[in-house]
Amino acid sequence: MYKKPISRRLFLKFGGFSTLTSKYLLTSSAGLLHALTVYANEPDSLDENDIKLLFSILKQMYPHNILNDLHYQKVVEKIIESSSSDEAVNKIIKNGISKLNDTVDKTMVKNTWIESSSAEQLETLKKISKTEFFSKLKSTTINTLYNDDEVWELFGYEGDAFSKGGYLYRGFNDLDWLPEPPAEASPKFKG
Amino acid sequence: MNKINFDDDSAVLIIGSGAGGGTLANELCQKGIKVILLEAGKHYSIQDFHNNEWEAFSQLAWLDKRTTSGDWRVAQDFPNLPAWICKTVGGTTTHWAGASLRIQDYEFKAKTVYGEIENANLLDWPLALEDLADYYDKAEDKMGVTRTHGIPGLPGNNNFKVMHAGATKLGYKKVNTGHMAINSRPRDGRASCMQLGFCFQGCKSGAKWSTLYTEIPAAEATGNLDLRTETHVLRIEHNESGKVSAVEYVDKDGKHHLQKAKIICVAGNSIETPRLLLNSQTSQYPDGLANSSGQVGRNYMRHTTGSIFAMFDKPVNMHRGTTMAGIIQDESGHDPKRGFAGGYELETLALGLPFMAAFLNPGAWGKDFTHALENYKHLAGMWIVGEDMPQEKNGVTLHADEKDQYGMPVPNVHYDDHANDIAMRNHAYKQGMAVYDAVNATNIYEVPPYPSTHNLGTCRMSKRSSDGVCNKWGQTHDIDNLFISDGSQFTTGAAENPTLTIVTLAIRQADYIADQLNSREL
Ligand SMILES: Cc1cc2nc3c(=O)[nH]c(=O)nc-3n(C[C@H](O)[C@H](O)[C@H](O)COP(=O)(O)OP(=O)(O)OC[C@H]3O[C@@H](n4cnc5c(N)ncnc54)[C@H](O)[C@@H]3O)c2cc1C
Ligand code: SF4
Repeated sequence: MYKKPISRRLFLKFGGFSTLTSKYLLTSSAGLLHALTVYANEPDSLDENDIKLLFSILKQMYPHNILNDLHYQKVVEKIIESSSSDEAVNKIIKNGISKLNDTVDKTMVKNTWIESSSAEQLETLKKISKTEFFSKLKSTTINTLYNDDEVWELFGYEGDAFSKGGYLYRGFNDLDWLPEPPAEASPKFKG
Repeated sequence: MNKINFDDDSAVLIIGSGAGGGTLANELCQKGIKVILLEAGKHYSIQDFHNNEWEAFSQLAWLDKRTTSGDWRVAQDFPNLPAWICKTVGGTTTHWAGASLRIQDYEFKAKTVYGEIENANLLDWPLALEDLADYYDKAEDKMGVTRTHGIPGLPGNNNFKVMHAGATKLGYKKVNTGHMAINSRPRDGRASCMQLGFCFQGCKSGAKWSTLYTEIPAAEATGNLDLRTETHVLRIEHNESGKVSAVEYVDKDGKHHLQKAKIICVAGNSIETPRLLLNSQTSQYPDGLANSSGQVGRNYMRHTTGSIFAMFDKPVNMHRGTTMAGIIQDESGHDPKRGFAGGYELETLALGLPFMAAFLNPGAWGKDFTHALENYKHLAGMWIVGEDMPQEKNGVTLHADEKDQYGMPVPNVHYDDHANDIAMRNHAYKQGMAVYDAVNATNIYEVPPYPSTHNLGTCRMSKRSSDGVCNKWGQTHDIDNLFISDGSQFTTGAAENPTLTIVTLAIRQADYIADQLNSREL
């Protein structure tokens, strides 16, 4: 990847988003509790610690300051759901979680996952990045976290356009920080 | 209800209703020829399309199992999804973007112009641009291609503005909103583009050409079409004299049928077409139908592709408006000084957030990845489409033990990048990055190829019967009433998006079939 340092202005912009999302934070722990109570009684289900761990791993794998627990919770719920309906998945998740602390112990000889620093957690993730457990978390996140219209809105993706009449009169060419292409390259729409 | 009896052997039977099959069906019906059109997918209408990437994909994409091998990155990222092809009435013309370019004169003579290239199975096409000129004209008129037949270009969207500004700063001259089979004004009973930005999901305004709502209803209106949907063809049968005589298919209730026909045209796209020929082997044709050359399923091409996305300080909103909104054509010539043979086009491309997450860097996680996604609004993007080298070892074979839901061996798609492909891709990445750098991108991303949207060459046309599968009309060298009617015919890939040429060849093939029927050659 070819990179340049990200500009200051961009950071300021997203600073605005964070204050906007902070109001959701209050509701998120209630949601988490809900997820816990719904699933806690099933045999072989993931327990409270497992679920806490999943949240923590997912946020480390896909860090977004502008998202909150509520957004990640949908991913966790998806994992719980497929784990309780599919034995193979259940095994992968259970195994992955129990091995995680082993991995931490062996490599850092120090803390459990939750006690590890962010940098240590990243190191641990790199170590398990080829496991089935890790792949399952990746594919579930890609198909869930980024397929959520609340997340779309925060990232600036506008979703369905047909019900709003498309962008012909709603900014398909509203970019104004570069020169307008000449008419022979980009003719004006004549409605 | 079928209009034509199973035992009636007088009609032309076409397999697949996409760009090739749908067009051929209509052209034949217009001439008064009876056609049976078999399509594995369902019949949807414009109202059924979704402005949602995953919903649209699961609605229309071909999801039957396929396997992959070779050193291409798709095999690693999407081992069971080598290609993005649709299974529905209209085929992949439901999800295509509409870019409609003619193959250039020199590209029809790849072997002559490029000379011998090691490990490439190059060949000149058995026809030249001038043989196709009138048919290209007809195809452009039929499809309503902008910047032809007095049809104005489309207005450029934000993604195009970024491309245009960067490209012209770099000194590129051939930069515009392209030749698109999308109405820039109402035409042919269809509306003009609303700039929805969901071209890859099925166009809900009908502005973009698709056989679903142009060719197929026109063919139905003649009364000569017998369209059977949700019919999956398993085998093509032949008679004692070696001519093809019937196909076996499964209908939606799982019932098997045998339909006789006079002529059979295969247009299942470049994976299913050779799969069907290979699966139809008999004691008379032990290597599959029309395969005396051994070239059925070989020389699979998918274009040299890749994308470049770039982040800017200010918003772009690339998702607004046509997906392929513009093109840079300055690199499409053959200029060996660049270190490779053939040329490439750079075309704008936008993905929605769900597909960006899946395709930006498959398998990626961590801060760099999430940073790109949360700045979605600030991204612009373009796609590389360049000529890849035909190689004998690249292609479609029947899997030794895996079977699909009908018990038919699944296809394996093998692809190794040729050194020429890699050199071209690297050059194109560098140029694409330079375009965005010229307008002060803050981050630039090299994005690996997606599952193949352009699938070509697996039953190629050739002058000599030992070099390829069909002649310049798409008629197979071995069996004169068996035709190849899709992109499998391509002798080489050229730098251009292929569909205009597939449609052009289908119109031309219809004339040839009609002539042959009239003169009782067939
Ligand atoms: C996202 C996307 C964007 C694209 N953009 C462009 C573009 O801008 N420009 C361009 O030129 N091209 C583009 N393409 C490529 C274009 O769609 C294809 O080149 C074109 O549709 C191929 O035509 P075809 O007739 O070979 O096959 P298809 O259109 O794929 O049709 C084949 C049909 O055959 C049916 N079929 C297959 N096997 C069987 C069987 N055994 N029995 C019954 N039916 C069967 C399938 O269900 C399908 O409907 C794009 C493709 C995609 C996916
Ligand atoms: S942008 Fe235009 S062509 Fe594409 S889906 Fe929308 S209306 Fe159709």
